[in-house]
Formats: sequence, C-alpha cells, structure tokens
Amino acid sequence: MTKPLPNPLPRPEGELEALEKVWVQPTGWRLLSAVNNSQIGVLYVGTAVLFFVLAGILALLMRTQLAVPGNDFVDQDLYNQLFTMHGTVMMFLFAVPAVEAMGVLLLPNLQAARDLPFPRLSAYAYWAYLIGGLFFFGSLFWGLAPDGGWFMYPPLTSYIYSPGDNADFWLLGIGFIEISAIAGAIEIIVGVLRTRAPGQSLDKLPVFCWAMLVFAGMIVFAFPAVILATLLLELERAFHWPFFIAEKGGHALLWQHLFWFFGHPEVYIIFLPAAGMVSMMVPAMARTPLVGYRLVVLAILGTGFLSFGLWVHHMFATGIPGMSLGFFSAASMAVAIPSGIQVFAWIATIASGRLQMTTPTLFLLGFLFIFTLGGLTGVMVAMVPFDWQAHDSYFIVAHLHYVLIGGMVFPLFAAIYYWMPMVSRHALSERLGRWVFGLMFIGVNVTFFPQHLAGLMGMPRRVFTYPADFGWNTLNLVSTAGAYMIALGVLLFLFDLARKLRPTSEGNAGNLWNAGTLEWLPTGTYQTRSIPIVTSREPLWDQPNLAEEVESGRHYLPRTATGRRETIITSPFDAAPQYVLLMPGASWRSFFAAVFTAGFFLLLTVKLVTLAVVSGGLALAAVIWWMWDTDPGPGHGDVDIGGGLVLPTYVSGPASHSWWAMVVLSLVAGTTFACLLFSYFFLWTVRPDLFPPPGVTLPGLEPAAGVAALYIVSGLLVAFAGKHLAPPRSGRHGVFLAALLLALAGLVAANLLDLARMWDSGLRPAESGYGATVYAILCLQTFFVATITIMALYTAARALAGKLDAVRRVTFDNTHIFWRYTIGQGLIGAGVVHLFPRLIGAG
Amino acid sequence: MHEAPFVPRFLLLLSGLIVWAGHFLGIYLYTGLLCARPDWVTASLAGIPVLPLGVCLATAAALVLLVLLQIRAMAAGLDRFAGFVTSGGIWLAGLAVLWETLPALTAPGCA
Ligand code: HEM
Repeated sequence: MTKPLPNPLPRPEGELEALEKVWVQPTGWRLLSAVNNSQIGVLYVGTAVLFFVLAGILALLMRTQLAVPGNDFVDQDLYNQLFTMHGTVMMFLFAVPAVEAMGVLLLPNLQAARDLPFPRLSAYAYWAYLIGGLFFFGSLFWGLAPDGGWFMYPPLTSYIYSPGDNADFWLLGIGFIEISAIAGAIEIIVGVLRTRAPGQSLDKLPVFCWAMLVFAGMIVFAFPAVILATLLLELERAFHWPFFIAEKGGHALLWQHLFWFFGHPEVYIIFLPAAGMVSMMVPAMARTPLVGYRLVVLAILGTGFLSFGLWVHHMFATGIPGMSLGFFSAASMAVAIPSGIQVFAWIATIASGRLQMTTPTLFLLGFLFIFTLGGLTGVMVAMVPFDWQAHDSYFIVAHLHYVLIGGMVFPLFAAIYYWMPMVSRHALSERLGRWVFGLMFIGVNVTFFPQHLAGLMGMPRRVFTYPADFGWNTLNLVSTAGAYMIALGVLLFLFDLARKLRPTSEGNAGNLWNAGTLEWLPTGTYQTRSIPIVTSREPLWDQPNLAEEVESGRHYLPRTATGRRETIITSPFDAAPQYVLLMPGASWRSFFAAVFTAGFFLLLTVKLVTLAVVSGGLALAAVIWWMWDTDPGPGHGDVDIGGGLVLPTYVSGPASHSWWAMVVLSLVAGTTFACLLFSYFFLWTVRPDLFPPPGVTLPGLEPAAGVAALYIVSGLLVAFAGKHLAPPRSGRHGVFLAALLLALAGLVAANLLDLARMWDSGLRPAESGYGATVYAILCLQTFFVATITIMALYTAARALAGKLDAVRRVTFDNTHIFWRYTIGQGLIGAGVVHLFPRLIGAG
Repeated sequence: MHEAPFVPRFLLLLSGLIVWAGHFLGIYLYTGLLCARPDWVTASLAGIPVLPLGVCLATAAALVLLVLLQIRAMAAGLDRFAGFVTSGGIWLAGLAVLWETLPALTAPGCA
C-alpha cells in the first residue's frame, strides 16, 4: 500500500494566489532588486556567457595578429595585455562564475527548494561579479590592463618592473571577484546540505549537487590562497613589504606556491561541476539511470581531494627537490583515475540506454572526444622530463585549451541547450544547434590541433609575432582560420539565443527530454506548488503521477504558512524536514552593498583612497541594513506543512542554517591564515639567517604571555555573555552588554599590545621578508579584530533594539563563532611569532 | 526529525581521503624542511638516510590508520551508500598513499 500524501484535495480557495503574491518577481528596472535564484541565476549565466564572448573577441584579435609572420596588427605591449586579459577573463570571469551560476540556477530546482538559503547573498555575489568584472575588462580601453600573464609572477609584477596601475587592476580586481566566488560557495554548501526535498537523502542526491558541494568545498580551501597571494603582492607593491624580493629575504617562489595551490585545483573546480552536469544529461539523453552512481560520487570526492596534491606540477621547471617533484608527479597521475571512472560511467550509461541524437548529446560527445585528447597530452606533461621540453611552448597552449574547452565549454553549451526549456518559454533550435556544434567542434580542432605541432617545432607561447622562416606559417594560418570558425559558431548560437530565450518560471517549454529529476516538475515563480517527498534518484521516472500531485498541492507546504516567502530546511544526511525558513523578498540592500563594495576596490585600485574609504563605509552600512531584519525570531510560531508535520519557523544553534554559514566562513578564514603561516615558514626555509634579521631582538616573552592571557579572558567573557542573554521581553541586558563590551576591550587590547611590542623591538615590515610576514600575521589579526568589533557593536545594538534575547539569539551565536575563531587565530599567531624564532635558537 | 550529528558522520565518509591529505602534506613539508637544511638531510638512522626513512614511517602510520578506519566503518553499521563511499575512499587513499611513497624510494632526494 502506498503512503497517503501529506495534503488533501481540494485545496482551500485563495491558497495559490497568496503563494503567488509573496513570490511575485520584480520587473523592469526593479529587476536590480531581485534576489530570487530563478532571476539571479539566469542573469548570472548570461553574464558569464557575455564574458566568454568578450574574452573570445580578444582571442580573435590575437589569432588575427598571429595569422601571418611579422604582422603589425597589434604591437607587443597590446599583445601582452591581450593574452593576460584573455586568460584572466576566461578563467576568473567566465569559467568559475559560469559553473557557479549554473549551481545557483539549478540547485533549488534539482532539490525542489523554493530557493537557496541565502538569496540575498547570491544576489550580492552576482552584482559584485558583474560590476567588478565590467570595470576590470574596461581597463583594457585605458591601456591599464594587466600585462603580466594570467598568473602574474613576481618579480615581473612587483613595483620595480611593473610600476603603474596595471598590475593593481589584476590584484584588486581578482581578489574582489574571488570574494564574490566565496560568497557563492557558502550559499552552495549550505544549500546542498540543508535545502533538499524531504526524503532526498545523500544517496539520492543528483550527481550535479554532489559536484557542486565538492566544488564549493574546494573553493573554500583553494581561493583563500590566491586571495592571500594578491594581498601580499599588493602590500609589496604599495608599501614595499618584501615578500617576494630575494635580496631582502623574500622569495619569488612563494607566489608560485600560493598561486598554484589555488591554480591547479582551479582546473578541477571548473571541471567537476561540468562533469556533474554531464552526469545529469547523459542519463536523460540515454533514457536510463547513470551507471555506477556510487562510484561516480566517490570519484568526485576523490578528485576534490587529490587535485590539491598537484599544485607544484606547474613548477616542475623551477628547481624544487627531486623527491617532492616525485610526489607531485605521482599525484598528477593518481588524479587521472577518478576522472577515468567518470568517463567510463558515462560510456557505460550511453551503452546501456538508447541515445537520442539531440544538440545536447552532440556537445556531450564532442566533450568526450576533446577532453580525452586534452587528458592524453596532460598525462604527457605530467611526466617531468617531457614537461621540461614542452614547458612554455605552444604545446602547452594547445593542451590547456583542449582541457578547458573540452572539459568546460562543451559541457556548458550542452547544458545551456539542455536546460533552456526549463528557464525559457521556448527551447533553442535543434537545427541551428547542429550547425553551432559542427562549427565549434571542427573549429576547436582546427585551431588547437596544429598548435601541438607548432609547439613541438619550438614555437614559444606569448610571442606577439614570429619570423617567416621557422616553418610555423601554415600551422598558424590554419589555427587562425579555426578560431574564426569557432567565432561563427558562437555568433550563430547568440542569434538563436536572441530569438528563443524568453525567461520565465511559469509556462516554460517543459520536460522536452523526458528527464527524471526534479527540476522538470511544473513550476511557478514559487518553484513547485508543493514540495515533493522523494523516494528515488530519478523521481519523475519512478514515482508515477509525481508532477501532477506536486502541482495540485498534495505534497508538503503547498501554501505560504506565514504570509512570507518560505522554504523547508532539511537535515543534511537524510533530508528529514527540520524547520521552515522565512526568506527575504526582493530588496535593494544586497544590490547597494555590492555596488559600494565594488566601488571600494576600484577606487582603491586607482589610488583614490579617501573616496574608497567612503565607499567602503557605505558598503558596510548597506550590509548592516541588509542584516538588520534577518534573525526574525520565533514570532511566527510553528506551522503545519501537511502529513501531520508541524515545524518551527525559528531555530538557533547547530540546527540553524546560519550557524552552518558561519562555520564555513571560519574555514575560509582559517585557510587564509594557514596559507600565511605557510608563507612564514617557507621564507624561513630559504633564509633561516634572517629569522630574525641581525640587529633585531625579539620582544620579551612576558608581554607575549600577557597577550595570550587577554585573548583567553576575552573568550571566557563572551561565553559568559552568551549565558546571560536577557530572557525574552525582559529588557534586562545589563550583564550581557557589560560582559560583551569587556570581552571586546580584551580582544582589541591583546592585538594592539602585540603590535606595539613588535614595533618597539625595532622590527620593520619593509626591511625583510621576515618582518613582512610577522607584520602580515599581526595585521591579519587586526583585520579580524576590527570585524569582531563591528559584529559586537551590531550585536549590542540589536539587544538594545529588543531584537536579541535568550531565545532569539542567532545574531549572538554567529558573532560568537567568529569570535572564538579570532581568538584561536590570535593565539596561534602570537605563538608562532614569539616562540618559533626562539625554538630555532634565536633571541 | 533528528539524525545523528553531522560532523562525525561526514568525517567518517571522507576519512580515507582526509588521511591521504594529511600524509601528502606531511611528507611534502617534511621533504621541504629537510632539503632546506643540508646538515639535516645527510643524517641517517641505523644506516638508513632520514629522508626516505621518514617518508616510509609516515606511510606506515597512514596505512595503519586506514586499516583502523576501515574496521571502524564496518562496525558503524552504515547504509549501502555511505558504506561504499567510506570504504571506497579508504581504498583509494591507501593506493594513493602507496603510490606517492614510491618516489621516496626511487627519486634522487633533494637534487
Ligand atoms: C574559444 C576559443 C579560444 C581561442 C581562439 C583562444 C585563443 C588563445 C590565444 C591566441 C592565446 C594566447 C597564446 C599565447 O600567445 O601564448 C590564449 C591563451 C590562453 N587562453 Fe585561450 N582561447 C580560446 C578559449 C579559451 C577558453 C575557453 C579558456 C578558459 C576557460 C582559455 C584560456 C586561456 C588561458 C588561461 C591562456 C593563457 C594566457 C597566458 O598566457 O597568460 N582560452 N588563448
């Protein structure tokens, strides 16, 4: 016997209308205030495609220049800017945001959530990305574009060889865009783990959701490295702190370590979600469940981990210990295993089903072909001796484009064709689609295959021209012709897009492919009318009538229970409903916050410091305004979602979604700090004689002990404050506020004392790599202490405004998590800078 | 409505891979440190140079840990999916750990 559905028919009158009303979407210029994933998601993907086109135009300019030897279409300086911008825009403004955007768009649909848990955070990440990205790209028109190559190696990019603002555009622009990516990643992690359809336990989670979870986890651990690297290089450029200058005890290799610690996982950060999308499309196109689901999930997790073991493999040519190179070479080969597993799973699925030859299928097959070729050349360059030969030649350019275009661009095009009927009134044209595919597939091979040969014949990368008598002429001409073919394919695609894309969530083209996953349920602006109970991995195949039941409102929460936007928060493993989350509607707050944050970074880049500070202040104000009506408290009581389930509308502690976000944020902070400690120890291994430099005596141990004691007391005081939050409606905040403010004073004092003592010792950041890293550790702490100061004052203000008490306490809990983190960081930092030099016999 | 705490459950799922990460980072840092100190790297213990010795010890420790985790996973009564992913991760990690120890025996040390 089947279980009865949670909600009976007929549904009360007006229920649907009320639901529609709370989810109504802003239109016209108010679109800027939209926070709903279905709107932001489409804009997000569209913007990523825009950057693909822009960077593609730069590629065409380069290929035009290289078509014939000795060409003078663009000069050397412009060529340097072109390849730097092309590489940077493709990697940072297209590839990563594109897959993140697909996540924001698809995840709630795949999980039948009404939205992801932090819609305004997605909106913030999107606007920050759009504005930051457009300005970054615009730098090209003022000749201000960075020109140091997409990985910006110092010393070339430091103040001596790159004066002027060009490199700053890269450092601040990319640093900023990475912050937006991290904001998106937090949203995705909490979203995948906590906003699923009831019953959609981890073993029924669509592969794409797994891939996005691992993707976001990798961002959390990889991006802090590059954020820290850009910060250090910017400190070196602006204040001459010599992190990367060998004469002063810094080291250029430090940049390479930090950059590639991020840079190699980056390839998988791009590839995993793309593979996740492939794992959704292949079963739909072959009309059969994915073969080896569990193996594929394992492979995704394995790739996520192993890819971190690869960073040095971009530095085979730099003279690192032979044995370390061996480790990395081994890891490079090991990571091929999980990738191979996925490829076999797709092939087996195709073999066990009946493949329909649609445009998405063509792009999928194209992907398999191109990516496999890229993988083969990848195994070649993973062999250290071969890499020494091919290093910095066109062989590498060919390899990297095969991998990136195969592994990411083709799956993305497949995905756009595949999911278009979900977001738009019309699907894209199948007939034109075949042309688009044909032009792009042939074009890519014609462009990049000859480059393997050119590389083996000695043509170096990043040259703006070449002499006629090296035998490279034909290869280059063919390559350029191929690039124009790709461009024609993309143009045709854009034409079709303009004709057919009519974004909508109600009345979309629907489940044309007869796919089995939840995103193909009938939707409105509120996503699905009721939230389905899921008992299978392909519910639409295995649960007959599901679409109809969901649409008629027979599953959970077919209404708005509180008169606001809501979604169900579920438990992370088994997806059991836990509480109903109240969600914000359209709002300008996140938009303004993004505009002013972007303003802060851009103004800083062009050295308008005062204006930058003003903009930063406004950004902060907008964020506080945005935060102010979060943490709504238990005022809405419990609500009945059907089937006898009555859920609270407010929880605090580890069950709360915001607790999860804070923990993830602390992980980001912790990784940044760990990378900084790595930098410190790395510089010690290259210049132990400067730890500390001659003439500098370490500050005494007693003050250091005082600093540690202050941190500990501060921690005890906040914990005490947490136990003395006023009972609801009592207004008795005295003890709480006193303890909180005292704790804050202790924290601030500890950091200031540490800095003052260090300064008194005569150590200066600009004089040695040692000094620079020591002050970086202390100043990072200052940054966190400043953040806690703002959070503490905000928390106090909420208490005084009657928005914080012993029950309605999420604001305090969040502050507390970050507070504890900051104390931990402070203690470890102080331990390192005071004890380590003594341990190695100094002082 | 309530399920077992997330963190220990999730950590067990990933435990093999986490051991791999620890081992990898450990041997990498160890080699880096040792090679930065020419006076340390030439030392040996019972006739075996410290560089490969340390790496092999780390590998042995990692393998023991993996075996213990596998026993723990089997005792934990995991469902089919979690059992597969946990054990699979442990085996994958075991292979990767061994594979990465090979260079310690064959590669030219700090050269
Ligand atoms: C769609 C067709 C594409 C064409 C015709 C193309 C063309 C080029 C050319 C001519 C270069 C400069 C080579 C040199 O001078 O060394 C280059 C570099 C590069 N491209 Fe592409 N590209 C395309 C797509 C992509 C995509 C989709 C990505 C990434 C997702 C990408 C990432 C890069 C990177 C990272 C570099 C290296 C930049 C550097 O050396 O700093 N490209 N590409």
